[in-house]
Amino acid sequence: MAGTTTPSTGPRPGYLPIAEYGIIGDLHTVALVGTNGSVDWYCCPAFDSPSVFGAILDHDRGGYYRIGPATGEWTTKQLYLPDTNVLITRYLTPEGVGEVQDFMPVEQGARGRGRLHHHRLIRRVLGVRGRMSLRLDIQPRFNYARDDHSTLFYENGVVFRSPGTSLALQSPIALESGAAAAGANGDGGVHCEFTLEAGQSATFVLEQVPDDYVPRRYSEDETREAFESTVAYWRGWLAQSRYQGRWREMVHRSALTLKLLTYEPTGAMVAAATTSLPEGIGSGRNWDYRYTWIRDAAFSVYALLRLGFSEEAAAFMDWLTDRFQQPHSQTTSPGVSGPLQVMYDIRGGFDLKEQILPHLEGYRGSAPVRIGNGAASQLQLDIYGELIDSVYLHDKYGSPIHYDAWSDLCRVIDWIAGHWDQADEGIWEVRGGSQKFTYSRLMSWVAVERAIRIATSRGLPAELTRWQTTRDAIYHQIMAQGWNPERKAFVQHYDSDMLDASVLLMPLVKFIAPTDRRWLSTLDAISRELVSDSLVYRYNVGASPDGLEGEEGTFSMCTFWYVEALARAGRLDEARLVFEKMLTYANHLGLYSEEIGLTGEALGNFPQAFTHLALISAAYCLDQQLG
Amino acid sequence: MPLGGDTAARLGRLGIFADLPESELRDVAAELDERSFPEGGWVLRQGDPGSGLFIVADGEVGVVIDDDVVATLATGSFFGEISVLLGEPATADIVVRKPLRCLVIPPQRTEEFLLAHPKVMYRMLQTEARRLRTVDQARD
Repeated sequence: MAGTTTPSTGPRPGYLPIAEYGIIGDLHTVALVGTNGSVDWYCCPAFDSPSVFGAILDHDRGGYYRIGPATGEWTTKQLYLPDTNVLITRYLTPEGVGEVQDFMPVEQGARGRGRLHHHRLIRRVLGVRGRMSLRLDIQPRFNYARDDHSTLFYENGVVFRSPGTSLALQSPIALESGAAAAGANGDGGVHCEFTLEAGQSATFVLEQVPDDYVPRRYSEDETREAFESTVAYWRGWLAQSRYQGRWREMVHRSALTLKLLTYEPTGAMVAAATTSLPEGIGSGRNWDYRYTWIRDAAFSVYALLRLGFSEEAAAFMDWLTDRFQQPHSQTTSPGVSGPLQVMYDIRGGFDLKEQILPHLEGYRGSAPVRIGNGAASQLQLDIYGELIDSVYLHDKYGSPIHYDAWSDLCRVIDWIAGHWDQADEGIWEVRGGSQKFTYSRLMSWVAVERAIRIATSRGLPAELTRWQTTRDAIYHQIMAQGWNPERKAFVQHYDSDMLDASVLLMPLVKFIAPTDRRWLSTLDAISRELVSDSLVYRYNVGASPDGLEGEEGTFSMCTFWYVEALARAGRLDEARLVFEKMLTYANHLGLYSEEIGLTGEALGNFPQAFTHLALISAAYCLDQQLG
Repeated sequence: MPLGGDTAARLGRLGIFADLPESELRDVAAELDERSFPEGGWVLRQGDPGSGLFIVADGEVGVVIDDDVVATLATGSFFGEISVLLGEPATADIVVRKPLRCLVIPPQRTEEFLLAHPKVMYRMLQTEARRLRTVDQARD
């Protein structure tokens, strides 16, 4: 991927734009590394653990770990080592060029054997040309900057010891106390300065350790070996891809990002790496996305299977199967009436109690910072459609469904048959009250229709007549009440004449022919009202209050759905232009957040899995259509 | 010893004293001498008779054997232990690379000190084991 150019002065000038970050990880957790060399987001030991570095949510209090030029002005560029998740941040000055190679070794096979997973974050600093003076600053702030910690100095580094976890920073350069620059909690962290000539290197290893750990010296041979094995892991993994179409680099970057967002022990994929990056600066639309949405299931399984990553698809399928096979009493938190929650944590847990962290100011002052997610207990009927579509896809392209899973799935269908006509909160998790959303009914139709397909193709026992009656009843109702004859479009919900980008999925899930007149006029209406310079709003917030304050940007996922809908409708030139434009909104590394603001800035949690899933699906579809 | 008002807290930041409760840290502070050395000078010369166990509280020294810098020691490190424990002359030059403030246990009090504070002795042993492991790995 291409690099970026950002003239910088001083060690920490303020909040970086969201798009100025790259991501590394070890399939348990991730770190966001800014183009200024600062790790400003890192939760340890897992995606949903409390943050240790959280400067993206509070520049002063959140904690960070930066390695960059010590003084003066410089230009920075950032790129991935090709076909890997090894991130390189480069610094260019008249006197010299230096670079930091950031990576987290993937410790395969560590789970289940009693071995401690180290979650090593390795920063290998190299002198490339001339000479460069560099400075390392590290200020951990454990438990979202709520816990104090002690800093213990040893021969080969320091141990940061907090009540919840301890981290060691092992350094070949003597570390000094940063007391003079004490942060909000009085601990100034540690720092060091060093100079590298061309060809010289210094490696810093941060890892989770027991409380009584004594830091050790990592030899250059050892870190080079870790570097090479990490590169080999990612290249070996990506070599499984069967995608040979257009935009392969972007598709593969999306695949590598999705893999980074996958929790290896369970196969679950988090919706995004972060919490509370705002959907609009100051909007209050700040949510914790470090959980696994059932909704993402069908899209994930579809995208992974399309690219040839059958192992990941199977692992995610296992995670999903475990969810609907859990006894009802265990899967349902208080207040949830369906057999499934909207989302779970990466281990399958359902207690995602939402709370606000008032001591953090939020990204660029965009409070509140939330952890947990209150939408977990909402009724969102569409999730059953996405779930059963993923079962259908895996049954067809992966491996056939097992009897016990089928029996449990039949019970889910029975539940849908009795509940699909309820009002719910819908796909966008609005907090403005329940409605009869068209999309929820559409996906209820998908649930029953796909179950019928599985039963028919596999000869599995099912109450087909009753299921067909339900399927057709949903279909007729959508055509009668979801269709608004005055607007000549399918609308957001039955009591509204507002449009909603979620109906872009109608032809994608094969509910309606992509050239059906009702569909084409809906597509025209969406193009007129929800599309701005090729970017798609999910709905008109002003005209359709969602119970939330503030503005939001365009929804990248919806733009990719729009591409696919245009392509399937035969409007290929238009689809291709929208897709190519959308590619220009990726950051310098090919990463997307959830939304795009009016001036092209990334908004919302980052990087977001759903957007990358939609990119893969749109690229695949468009490439096929273009021939 | 004149280590200042927050002595216990400052000692507690050094890995070798990491496990001691505050009351014991205060006792330890009373048993240690503090010495400062300017940049560029020597703390120990190879062949000097045992001068005590030195713990780096602030600054940086180089360990020099036969004109080769074999290691750099900074805050939290210690040196002089081999000479003290074996009753032999210093095995290396210790050169000050950044203004040094260190804590010193005189050779005649070292045994008594370590026996009185076994957790400190255990931490010392851990560090020695790390050094040994590093040497072994380098040989491999």
